[in-house]
Amino acid sequence: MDIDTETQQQNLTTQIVTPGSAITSDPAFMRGHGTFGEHGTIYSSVAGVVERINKLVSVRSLKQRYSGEIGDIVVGRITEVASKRWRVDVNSRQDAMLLLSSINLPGGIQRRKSESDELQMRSFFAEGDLVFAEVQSYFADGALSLHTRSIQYGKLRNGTFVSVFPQLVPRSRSHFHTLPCGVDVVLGVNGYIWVSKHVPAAKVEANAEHIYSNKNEEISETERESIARVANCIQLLNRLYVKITDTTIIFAYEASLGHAVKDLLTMDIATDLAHAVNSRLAQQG
Amino acid sequence: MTSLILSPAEQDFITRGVEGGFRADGRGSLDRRQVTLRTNMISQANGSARCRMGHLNVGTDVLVGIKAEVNTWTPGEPDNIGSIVCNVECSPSAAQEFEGRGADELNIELTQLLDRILNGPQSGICLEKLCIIPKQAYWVLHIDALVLDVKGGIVDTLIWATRAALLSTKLPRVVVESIEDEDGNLQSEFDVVDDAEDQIAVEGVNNLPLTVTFNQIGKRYVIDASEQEEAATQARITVAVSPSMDICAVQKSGILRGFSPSLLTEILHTACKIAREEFSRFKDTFAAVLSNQSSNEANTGSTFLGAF
Amino acid sequence: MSRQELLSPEGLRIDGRRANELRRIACKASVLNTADGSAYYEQGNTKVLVAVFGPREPRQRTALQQHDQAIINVEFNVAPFSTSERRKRSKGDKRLLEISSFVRQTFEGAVQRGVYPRSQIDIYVHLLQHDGGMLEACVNAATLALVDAGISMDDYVCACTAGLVDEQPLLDLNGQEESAINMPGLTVAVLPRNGSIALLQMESKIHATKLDDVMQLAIEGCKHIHKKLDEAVLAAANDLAVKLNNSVQ
Repeated sequence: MDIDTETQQQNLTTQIVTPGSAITSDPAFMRGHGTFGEHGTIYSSVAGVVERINKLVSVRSLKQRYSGEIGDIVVGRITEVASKRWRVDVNSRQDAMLLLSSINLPGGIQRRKSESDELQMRSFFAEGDLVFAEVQSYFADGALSLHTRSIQYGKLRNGTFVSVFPQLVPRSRSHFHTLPCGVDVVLGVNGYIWVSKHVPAAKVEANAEHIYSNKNEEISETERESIARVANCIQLLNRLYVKITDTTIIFAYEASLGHAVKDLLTMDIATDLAHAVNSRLAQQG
Repeated sequence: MTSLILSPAEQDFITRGVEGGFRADGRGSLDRRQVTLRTNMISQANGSARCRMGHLNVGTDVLVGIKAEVNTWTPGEPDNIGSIVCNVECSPSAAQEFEGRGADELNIELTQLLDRILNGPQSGICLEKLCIIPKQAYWVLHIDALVLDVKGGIVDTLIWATRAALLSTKLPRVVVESIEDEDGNLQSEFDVVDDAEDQIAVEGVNNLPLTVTFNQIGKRYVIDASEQEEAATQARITVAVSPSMDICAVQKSGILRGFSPSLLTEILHTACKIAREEFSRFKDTFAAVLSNQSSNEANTGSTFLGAF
Repeated sequence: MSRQELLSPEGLRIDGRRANELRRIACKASVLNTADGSAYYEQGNTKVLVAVFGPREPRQRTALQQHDQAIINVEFNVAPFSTSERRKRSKGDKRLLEISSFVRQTFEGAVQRGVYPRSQIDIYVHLLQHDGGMLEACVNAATLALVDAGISMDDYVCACTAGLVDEQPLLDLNGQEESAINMPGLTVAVLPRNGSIALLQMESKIHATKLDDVMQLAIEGCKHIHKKLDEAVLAAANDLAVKLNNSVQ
């Protein structure tokens, strides 16, 4: 396959290649992710869709672990408390790092970290804790470095965790959404999603002293049901490989209202709902 | 049973949900997940089944193969019964910590539990019928289970798969001939009939029990716990119940807490009620499997190549 | 078993195949839901299931010898019901360890390990039914599962066996042929794009002049298998692409 002519370039987006297949021998192109060069030809190294941005050719795999970019919003789980840093599972090829110097210390205001902070690291984040963070930089070995230095980032509470294919969560302006049903979702681009009770921003700020608290708020029965319904909607979009955005979640949620929450995870109903979401997306054009 | 660690906030969310009777996936405390079942997919086995319990085709996945072999009686063994040998193996595809010898402890626990349920009168299987000639030869049923995926409720899935595999097991017919030798003693000989059409079922398999596993979370308990719920579990109890509502085995595990005797009474009572529902669900699922399965075409691939 | 029976005067083998015929191949990618990649592969009555996890954080960080590339870990498991006589193999069985070592070495060459420094790729192989060509089936299934996991590779790795009876090379030996006395057999794995040989293993003896013919036949077989694997990869990729396209705004 060659991508020299205009018409062929149009087809590129839908072109699926497999490992070892030649993409182009035109020396004008540069090779990106999912490709490699040999004797002047660019080959694909994965099965996926060919993408071209200017002169950069890459192949986007349809199913793969998360590979981070600076500025990504992610949800991660602490796997280890190490010296002045936490190791965080972010569904990537290696654990990300969260440095003690990259978090806001309790007290709200910026202050210098002290030795006592190092000793009580586990009181900020312990193994198993879920954290909402942003990718700040890479380490030399390719590991991601995270930070939580913003009032909306930090420890996740009041809800439930869902893991999805990272390919389904597109990078967008906002990854934190308050849905009309009164549920907050954090759509980590790494495929980790947090669904929780809506807590107004003012209240979050007022509680700056307790940003590392493990205590949930009171969650009413109706709130619990909405959280479960949203979580199940995300689960079914994931299983039927539908893009997961605030829009598709709301569409699925609205379409699901005729069914009991626990029935959303049966194949027949899930398939119907995914279909309904896709046709509403198509209508919007 | 895997190494998932929850955050305290998740623990609390799950616990309060269970105590309020509304679980994180919307189920009530006694609701079960969907089950997928196929039988007879392993052609070189006498019986086989694959069972998965979970939401939207993600769940605990167990493959069971049963092979019958003729064993020669050796002194010291019981005179006139056959035997059942169980073996459960958890694949590292279910959890990374099962790599190498990492699953040994769990494998032994599950193997012993299966053995305790199946090897004895409580299983309902007629072990006497597995004897071919007393003090001479008998059938051994090797039950080998492979756990491919773990998403909570490993024991219940294992028992479903095993029960379905035993129900689908066919043994070759054996012809026994007795001849009087020169001294007037009766000598018995047997012949295994090699004919796929001429096979018999294992006697008593319809009496096999099913299990109901209860997970105590906070002050209440749930059945068919999800992976996250298992991570929030303080104590677990598995109750095996026969179709005639006899309790065939009870096993409590989990070290965090003991059950109070009153809660235990409630659980045993509930177990019987749930088991009754499970037997009818098993019967319907199994009947659907038989009617959907085209003829005797045994093919391991059928559950992997086709829809499962 | 005498050589006569392995190849009839009409040129037919025990299972009715001709000398240069492969057994029936059926395979599918993405057969397990929690693994990053998975595949089921059957060639005749040899059936293999593979789950691939990773690249992920290495389980034992001290095991990281080369910091600039991924480690590949292979675990090979034979189901006790896989053979006609039930046999339980221990995890330390030398034959099993040998197979996992062959599979690991093969993919250490083909996977672009430099793309994934400081990480680990786990390949868990299950032999569900065994009727000859264990190694070839494992390699082919692992290739399919690795591609399914989206792991960068130079090319597919395709493996095939061939043997020799009465000066006649035979393609893709089944269990009976493999266990026949004095049957020389070899397993070869190639990277089809440039034809380089990733793995070669031979048992018994073949006259030096005949080796090339047998190898060539096995390599031909690899090319057919490449086509089958590619079809399965495209089928799985198309399935996902279609679903995803439906929801792209």
